[in-house]
Amino acid sequence: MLFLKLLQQLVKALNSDGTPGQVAAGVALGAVFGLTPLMNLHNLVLFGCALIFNLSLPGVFLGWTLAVPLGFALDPLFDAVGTALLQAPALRGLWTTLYNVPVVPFTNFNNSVVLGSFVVWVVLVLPIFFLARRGVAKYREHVYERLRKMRFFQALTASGWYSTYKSLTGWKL
Amino acid sequence: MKIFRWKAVIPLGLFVLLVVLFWTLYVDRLIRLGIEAGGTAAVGAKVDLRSARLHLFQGSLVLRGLAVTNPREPMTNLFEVDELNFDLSVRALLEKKFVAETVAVRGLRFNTARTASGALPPKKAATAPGGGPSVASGVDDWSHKVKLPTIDLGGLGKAVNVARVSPDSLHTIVLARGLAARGDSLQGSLGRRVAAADPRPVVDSAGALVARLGNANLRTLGIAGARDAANAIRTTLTAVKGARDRLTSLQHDATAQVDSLRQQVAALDRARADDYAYARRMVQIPSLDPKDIAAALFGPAALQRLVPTLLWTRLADRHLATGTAPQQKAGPKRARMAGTTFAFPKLHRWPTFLVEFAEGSFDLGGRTTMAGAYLGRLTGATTEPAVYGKPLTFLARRSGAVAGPESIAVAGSLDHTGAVPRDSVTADLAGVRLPAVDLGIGNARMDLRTGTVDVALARNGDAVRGRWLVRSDSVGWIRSGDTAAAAAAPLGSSAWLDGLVWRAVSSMRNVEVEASISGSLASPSVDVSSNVGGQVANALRQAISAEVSRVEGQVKARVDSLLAQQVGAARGKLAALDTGPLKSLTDDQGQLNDVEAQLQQKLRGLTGGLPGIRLP
Repeated sequence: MLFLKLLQQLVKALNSDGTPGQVAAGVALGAVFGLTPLMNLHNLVLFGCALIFNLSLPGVFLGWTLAVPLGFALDPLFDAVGTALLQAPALRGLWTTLYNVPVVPFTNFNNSVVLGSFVVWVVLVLPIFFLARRGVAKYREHVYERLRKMRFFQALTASGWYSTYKSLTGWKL
Repeated sequence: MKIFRWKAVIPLGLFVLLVVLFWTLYVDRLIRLGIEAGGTAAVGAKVDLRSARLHLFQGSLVLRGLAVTNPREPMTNLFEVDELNFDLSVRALLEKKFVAETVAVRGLRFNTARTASGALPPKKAATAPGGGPSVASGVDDWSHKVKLPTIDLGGLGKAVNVARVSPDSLHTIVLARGLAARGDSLQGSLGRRVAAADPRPVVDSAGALVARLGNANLRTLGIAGARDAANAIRTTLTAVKGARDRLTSLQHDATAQVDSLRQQVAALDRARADDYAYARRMVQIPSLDPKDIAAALFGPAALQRLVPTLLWTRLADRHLATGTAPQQKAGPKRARMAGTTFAFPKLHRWPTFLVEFAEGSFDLGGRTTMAGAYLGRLTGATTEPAVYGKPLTFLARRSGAVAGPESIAVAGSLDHTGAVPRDSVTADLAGVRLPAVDLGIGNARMDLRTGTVDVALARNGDAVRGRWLVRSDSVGWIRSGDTAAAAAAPLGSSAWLDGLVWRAVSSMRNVEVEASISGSLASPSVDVSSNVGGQVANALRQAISAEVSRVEGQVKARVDSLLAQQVGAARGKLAALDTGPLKSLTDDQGQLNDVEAQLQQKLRGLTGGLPGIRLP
């Protein structure tokens, strides 16, 4: 079932009427929700951005879905990166200032996993964007036409959940 | 292409509304759960809270029905509060910090009974939040390890089995063996260094030069010959001086090492005294020292009163951060890895938790010494004292006693603002009804009636010093059990001892008991003294001193015989160092001095003893 949902997510993102750039931006932004621990203020702000800015929401959900297992797997790396940054003598002044500024502490930037995963996401956001944009463009150019003739694909896109979603968002194949 | 998706504003607004709704509905519940979880982790026993109500815009938090279980008595609350009213700093809350400018406390009660046990499951209770042993179990371990003497007269009048004193259990033997080994090693190393610094070649060469010059002088050698001879003497003198400097340095070093060993050998006598005491315990000879007897009579009661003070001092230690360096703790529990959460305190900013001023009235229930109504005040309670920069102070004064003209004042200060924590607590109780104390022997119970209690505890870094002093001049004695059996009981029997103790103490009206702790906070030593101990000691001495002296003599002889060989060996090694390397060094120095004097004399002879003449 989960696999089917992921597949639907993938299909919707790749075939929505957003440009490859919008889909790629959605994937890049959505990755943050999967890579960093979810219940933090920065994710709330970025979720607001995902809604307000005209980027592909299916792309956001696709990026999120794909990044969740990656986030769990890379937690030890995030922890190491975050710990190194939080213990760096050169950055101590910055952390001390941020820690004593209103609202900022609610981002939990002072947790090693939160900071490490966020920094890794910042580093990866542009590569993810460009890779996703190229991938979506290639897909639409070469794969999509062949896929839409397949019965499985037609069945998938004809599911009730997908139809509801399509009617709400206005996206189409 | 549009940058903004304006139609998403409504869903976003709805989302924000949902968040606000969630906050409104659940924030009080979250606060309650947070306080219960945090408090439970800090205390090591259940903390219950009936309700919490946060008024964010007014900056007020009201907690109702707070009950903190005593970790040592899970069916009792350490304290219970009907209502706590916090006046909060909203700006500090925005920094994720809890700063209460004032706190009003209503209905604070101590030692109240619980309807359900507040003990934690064994897994949770076994370890403290930091992963180390819990503070309570650490203090318990210490109190169980404190060795309190007992009055056991079972061995009197019987043959003493001195063979029970085993050589392996005597500390002096271990020390003496170590000293002998160190003496051996020192003799070897010093011997090698003395041999390496042997001045004999220099002495021989100088002696040969002196012999060669014989009675030569300026006339017999001529100017050139005298000049050469003087140069040879000067060169040899330089060599002699170098050799002497080396020997002097070696002698200083050797003397220091041998002196250190000498001091340790002298310390064997103190160790021997400890071994005598140990051996006496092994063969159950009762101590007639008033201090030992006082410790046997009142030690358990004193420990019972000292343990809570230590417990609170260590709890404060665990939860108060020192300095302003970043602190680390485990991150929040979640499906993802918890990681490490760092705190970056800053001087002159708010600490993570602070109660600037709290005041309230409270009651201590029951009819005990402390029962009554109190007024209390507390300032500067914070988790980061160095950031706040002021010590925590507290003061409690009884405003109304349950009965009698009683006065109680408790005051204290916990200064963890610097690198070295300094805590002090004093309590003065005057004219209070004191509890009765079981002596443990003599079937005697001491009713202290009305008296005074002084408690003082001072802690400076790792060193702690404390005193618990009880005085009463109206003591009553209660005896229970069979009193007739004592008269006919054999010497040393339990009944005989009961009778003796009762006769010794039952006429006493003035009693003073003092328990003190000193030493390191982790494992302080306990000392108990009392005039009751002196009275019982005198009675015992009169009754059994001859018997005790006889047995003590046997035990000392046994210990001396066991120690003789090892202590003798250690002393022998020391003597060997004195007569070996140290004596060699002194002899060598003497030879160098002699030969130097001869060379100086020859040099003067060459110049004819005329001052101011120097050969070219």
